[in-house]
Amino acid sequence: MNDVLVHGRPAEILLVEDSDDDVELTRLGFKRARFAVKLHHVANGEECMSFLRKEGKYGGMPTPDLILLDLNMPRMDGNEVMEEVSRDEALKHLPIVVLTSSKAEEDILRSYKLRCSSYLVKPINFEGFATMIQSLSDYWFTLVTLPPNKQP
Amino acid sequence: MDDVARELRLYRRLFVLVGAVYLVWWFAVEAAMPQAFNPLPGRLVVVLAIWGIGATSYASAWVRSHVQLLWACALWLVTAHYFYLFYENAGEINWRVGSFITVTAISLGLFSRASLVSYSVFTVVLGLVMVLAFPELRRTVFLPGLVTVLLQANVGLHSRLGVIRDLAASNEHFQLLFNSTFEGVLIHEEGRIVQVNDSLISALGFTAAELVGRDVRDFVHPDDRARAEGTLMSETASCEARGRRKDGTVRDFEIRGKPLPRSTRPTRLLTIADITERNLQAEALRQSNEALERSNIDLQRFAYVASHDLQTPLRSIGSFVDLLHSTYAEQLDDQGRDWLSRTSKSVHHLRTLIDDLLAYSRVDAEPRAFERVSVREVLDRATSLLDVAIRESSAQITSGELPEVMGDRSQLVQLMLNLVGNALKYRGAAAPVIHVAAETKGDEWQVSIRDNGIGIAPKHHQQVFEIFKRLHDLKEYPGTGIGLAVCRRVVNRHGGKIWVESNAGEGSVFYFTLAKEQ
Repeated sequence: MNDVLVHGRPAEILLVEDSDDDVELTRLGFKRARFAVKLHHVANGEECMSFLRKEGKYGGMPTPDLILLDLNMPRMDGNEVMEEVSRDEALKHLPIVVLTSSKAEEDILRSYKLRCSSYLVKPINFEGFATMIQSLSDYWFTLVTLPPNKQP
Repeated sequence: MDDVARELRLYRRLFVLVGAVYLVWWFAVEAAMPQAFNPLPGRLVVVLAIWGIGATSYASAWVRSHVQLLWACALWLVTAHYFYLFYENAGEINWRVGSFITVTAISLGLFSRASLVSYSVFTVVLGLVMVLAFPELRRTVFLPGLVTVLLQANVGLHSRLGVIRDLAASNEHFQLLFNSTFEGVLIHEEGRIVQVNDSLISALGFTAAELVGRDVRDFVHPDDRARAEGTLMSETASCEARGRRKDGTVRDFEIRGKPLPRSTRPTRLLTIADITERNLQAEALRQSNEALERSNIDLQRFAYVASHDLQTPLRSIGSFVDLLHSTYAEQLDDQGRDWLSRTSKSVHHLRTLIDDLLAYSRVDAEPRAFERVSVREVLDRATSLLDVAIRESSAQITSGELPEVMGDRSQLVQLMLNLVGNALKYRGAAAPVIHVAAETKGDEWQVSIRDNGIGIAPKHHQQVFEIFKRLHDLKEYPGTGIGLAVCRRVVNRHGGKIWVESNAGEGSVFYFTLAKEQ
């Protein structure tokens, strides 16, 4: 069922993740879920901010409908990204889903205080991962009404 | 030392005086009654001998230390010589009386102070009787008089010197005691030092002369004077203060002070102990404790981070093995699928191990404030987490009355989960029957978890709480050997104890204690 569309087009997802393995698993997860999504990937917070602001090599990139954000990353971590995004009037409406391996209460609480849209712990095996991506897609791309996002 | 010198000076005067009086007396008698007594050289020998004792006391230490004995001998010599001359010139009666008194005089030099008194009385009476009974000897009225005077002088001297000597002895004891105390002792009147002991002198490096008369506050470090004021000047108290030694080094002292009961000016006693070494040791101990604590925290953080970071690659391995299995299993032969399944199992075991290790390190790494926790709720939470295992094993879990305790809720759930989980896991042939109960023991609650499982041989009762300690191989009972170590850690953090009572094949009872109030 590759026909679920967001605003009349495939959903644009930005995956902010420093682990190649997790990028691959996420990609496979979306593939398994059979959603027509365009998955963009950046490896840290700094690149994420450049992507969102369409700076440099990200000049022609679309504004994502949803951001999947890892917390522990080099240079600029997920918390800093959320802080930065919330300060930016042009970006603060973007839904951010935290996707991390940390189950620490401290991380969970801090993420919600920084107004993440939801907090997901990476499942320990691929079956779990695939199920999670499936549910995530169902929720965000069929149930939820996302903010308007006119692509150039 | 003063008193001994004074005593010696007194004796020297007596020697001079007695010799002089004796000589003057004989010349006076001779002038009054020419040719009454003879001869002159004997008198001179006696007098010179007496003066000689006095003179040699300056040169000879033996004479100085035996001056009292020599005094008695001198008395005897004078008396004996007197009677010798008397006898030579006055006939038989006087000879008898003279010999008697001579013997008496000898005795006087040898007898104790107490008997001296009775002897002097006796001598006076005898002299009077002699004068009355033999009127022709009237001129010898001087004889008992002289003897009596000499004896009285001797007795008086003895008693006075005795007092002085007793005083000296007691003073010596006091000085010995005063100077031998380990602590420095100081007595001051309104701040002005009046007496110090040797320990204080060596503690401060100043001489007694440099200390006495100075204000005690001058020796306290200026920064500590305000703090030490009370102890030094008014209160019965103690304090620590720095003080400067004569060589300029600053040391730590413990000062204790109290007032001395004296009617005149306010006098205070201070004891002063150098505690620099003690403070240095305490500081070293504190530092090594701190280092230990730091390394302990580092170790916990290491365990936490390590187990956390180990999960990330493990998740990748597990996930890709899953993917391999689900996507390519068909294309592998049995051997290949077996290897994949073995890999999968190992990943699962490693994951459990890391999770348990994480739980173990979390007990201390993530401390939360204690709150009032119902053991009943803790048990309910644990059994709901174990729901599947309970249903699969048809276990029967009952409980008695359970209290509320102060503790960390999630850690207590972990504790109960591990203990009840073990009771389910290590079951025998029959369905598990588990009973959780609590009873009060002094100011603690003792919680017990009783099961009908395979039990534990007594020799393993201690070991089972050690981390990584397992009694079974993985095929029999899977596990990591961390569960009970976590339990012990949780109970320890709550200030309680955990132990097991069991025999192989007879079920086990695990006990742990929790304080009623924190």
